[in-house]
Amino acid sequence: MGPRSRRSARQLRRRRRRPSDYLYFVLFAGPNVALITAFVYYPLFMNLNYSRLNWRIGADTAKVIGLDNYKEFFTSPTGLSVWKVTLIFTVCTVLGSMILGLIMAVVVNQKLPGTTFTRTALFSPYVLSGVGVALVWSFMFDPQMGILRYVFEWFGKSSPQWFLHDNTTLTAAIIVYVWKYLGYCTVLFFAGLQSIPQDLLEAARMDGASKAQTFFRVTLPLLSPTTFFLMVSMTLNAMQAFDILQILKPTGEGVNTFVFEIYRQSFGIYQRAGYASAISVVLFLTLALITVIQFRFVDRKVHYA
Amino acid sequence: MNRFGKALTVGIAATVALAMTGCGPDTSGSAGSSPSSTTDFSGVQPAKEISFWGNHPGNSIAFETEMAKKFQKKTGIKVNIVSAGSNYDEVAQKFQTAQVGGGAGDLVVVSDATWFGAHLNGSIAPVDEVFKAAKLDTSSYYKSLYDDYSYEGAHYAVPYARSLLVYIYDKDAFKKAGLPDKAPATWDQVEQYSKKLKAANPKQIPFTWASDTSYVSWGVTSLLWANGGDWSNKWDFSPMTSDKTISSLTFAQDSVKQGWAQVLNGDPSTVFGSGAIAQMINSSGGISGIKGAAKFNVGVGVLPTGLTGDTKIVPSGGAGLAINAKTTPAKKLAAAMFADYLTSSANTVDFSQITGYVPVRTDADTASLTAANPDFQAVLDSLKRLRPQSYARVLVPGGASTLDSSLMKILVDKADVKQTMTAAQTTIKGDYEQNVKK
Repeated sequence: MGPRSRRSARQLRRRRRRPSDYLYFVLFAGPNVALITAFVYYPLFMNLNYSRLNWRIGADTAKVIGLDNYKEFFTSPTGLSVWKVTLIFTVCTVLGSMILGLIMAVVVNQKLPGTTFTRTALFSPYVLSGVGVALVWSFMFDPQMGILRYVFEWFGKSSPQWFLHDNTTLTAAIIVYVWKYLGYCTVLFFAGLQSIPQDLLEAARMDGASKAQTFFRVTLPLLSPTTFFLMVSMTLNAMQAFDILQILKPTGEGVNTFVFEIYRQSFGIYQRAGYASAISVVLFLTLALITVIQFRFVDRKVHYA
Repeated sequence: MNRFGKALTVGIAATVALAMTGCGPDTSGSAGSSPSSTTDFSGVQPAKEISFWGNHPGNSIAFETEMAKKFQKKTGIKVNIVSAGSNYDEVAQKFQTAQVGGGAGDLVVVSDATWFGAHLNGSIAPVDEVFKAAKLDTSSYYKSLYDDYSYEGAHYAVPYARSLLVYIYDKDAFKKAGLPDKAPATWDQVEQYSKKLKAANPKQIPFTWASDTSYVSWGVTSLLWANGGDWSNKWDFSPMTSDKTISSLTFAQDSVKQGWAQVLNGDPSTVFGSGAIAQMINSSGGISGIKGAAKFNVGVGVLPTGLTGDTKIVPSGGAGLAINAKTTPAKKLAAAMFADYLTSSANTVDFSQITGYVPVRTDADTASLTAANPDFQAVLDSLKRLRPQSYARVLVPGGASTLDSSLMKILVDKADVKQTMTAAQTTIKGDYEQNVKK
């Protein structure tokens, strides 16, 4: 069927639509459209509107300041610190969880006793509440009473005061986050490993490939859909991290990622709803950009079986 | 996209645009506070029902509920107690957010650090005029506690769950180190005692500063005041970098460098109970908890003085009661009546007995408090040494946070004191100009 005939078929279908079709569409799609409008588009546009205001949350009045909130976020030391902390946190947690998850997946993929239990144990932190996980870890990190103190003492060292320095606070937050999401990556990588056709691995072995060559040349490329999915989902997750960070360091010093800063600025100590809205818009655009880049450029290197 | 799709998109966009123009703040004037207009109370009768939003400080929900019942019996006004958060910040967040959607409480618990933000937003009413209209007396509140809520000639809350800082020490450790059984009277003595405590028991931390998560700047305020320093003088932030402030903070930094003091993460009172610390500055509201947890004898004293010899060196804390500016005049009157009842001379003593907070009325009979708990005498003595808090710390949005993180740099990272405080001054000045100055 040529383009002209396709167009005329479309026009014919359109002509044949009756008014009741539209009624049904409104009846069935209307509620969903209304909900999406009310809870997605409306807040999105309102947020965009607020981002150009100097407005304290709860105040009746506000001043239109154009792009000043954006300028402040991109030039102030606090704004630049948010970028730095978010970047370090995201890169470390995404790479940490995925690399360790892949290693653990390879281990539990072996025919060894206790792998079912290990898989369950590894996955369980993922289903726990972030608040609970952070609370338990904050006890473990305590340099006076925490269990990690004894680990350090065993090596003849004293425990660092984890939450007194910005660097160690961020390190602690990364450790907790990686621990929580390690099981998630492991299970997905494990599922990916299970779906690799055995004949391909067998063929590689018969061609004389070593275990390392088989892993890097066959297994890893075939895991690329899983790797790609994890990279996208973990990046989006890490950039929106909040609960664990807020429990570990309530003031946000050293762990003020995007979402933490939005919270601090809007509902926390500053109550600057306009400025927080501007950060939200920047976060939204950053996430959208990262996702587009990942889909446009990384997706090309993914091997779908 | 067909015509229907286009129409749908245009419809959604139009709806959103229409909604945007109808909602949100008024952008015709200046940002920040709405002027607190005077309410006309002539001919207004108190409402029959109000809501009271709070976090029940000191686990006081049973007390507050009992008070509400007694108040209803006395006046016929029903008070709905609402749990609006687990701490002062959460209550403030919920109260401010509810201002946008409506339905915020008529009477609300505000902390010393959150009331000013609510005032800037025009969310709380000056209590002076409401109390006057309800023929209620505010003169018997401790002046310093009441003046903590004073700004530009009006008060925006009345004191309720108020605490202050006291000196807490391990009596057994003092005995072991051959020290007298009382808190050090001066900061020089704090240093001497700490060195002796360290010599007597090297495993115990002689003295601890709180961390930024436990409001380190609150305790350090007292050190500054004792030695003639301060964070600010009203909106003048130059005291923050004055010689007296810098030398006081250098003394604090040296205490850590010399090893007779440490900074502890988290709540020091928890660690103190384990016996790991010999001395600390802590909220009076935590005394009963500390004594309950400690397996040793705990001593309580007033804060040490310094070079100036000034005794007005005790910073207060805790929370007060504010009235929603946007509620009806009738509800404002009823809210003021309940606030007055809750903090009456008799009820403030009962509240102190249950929670450990200080009585807020000068005519309160405190004999029962000291009879039940002799340590409370140190708290009552400290009441006479109160000074209203510095604007830089409690009124500038983010002020306390900036000071806390700066002190962490000075005490933990051993940063240059003058440079750090100059940077803090710039930040706080910026926050003041952005959020407060009109």
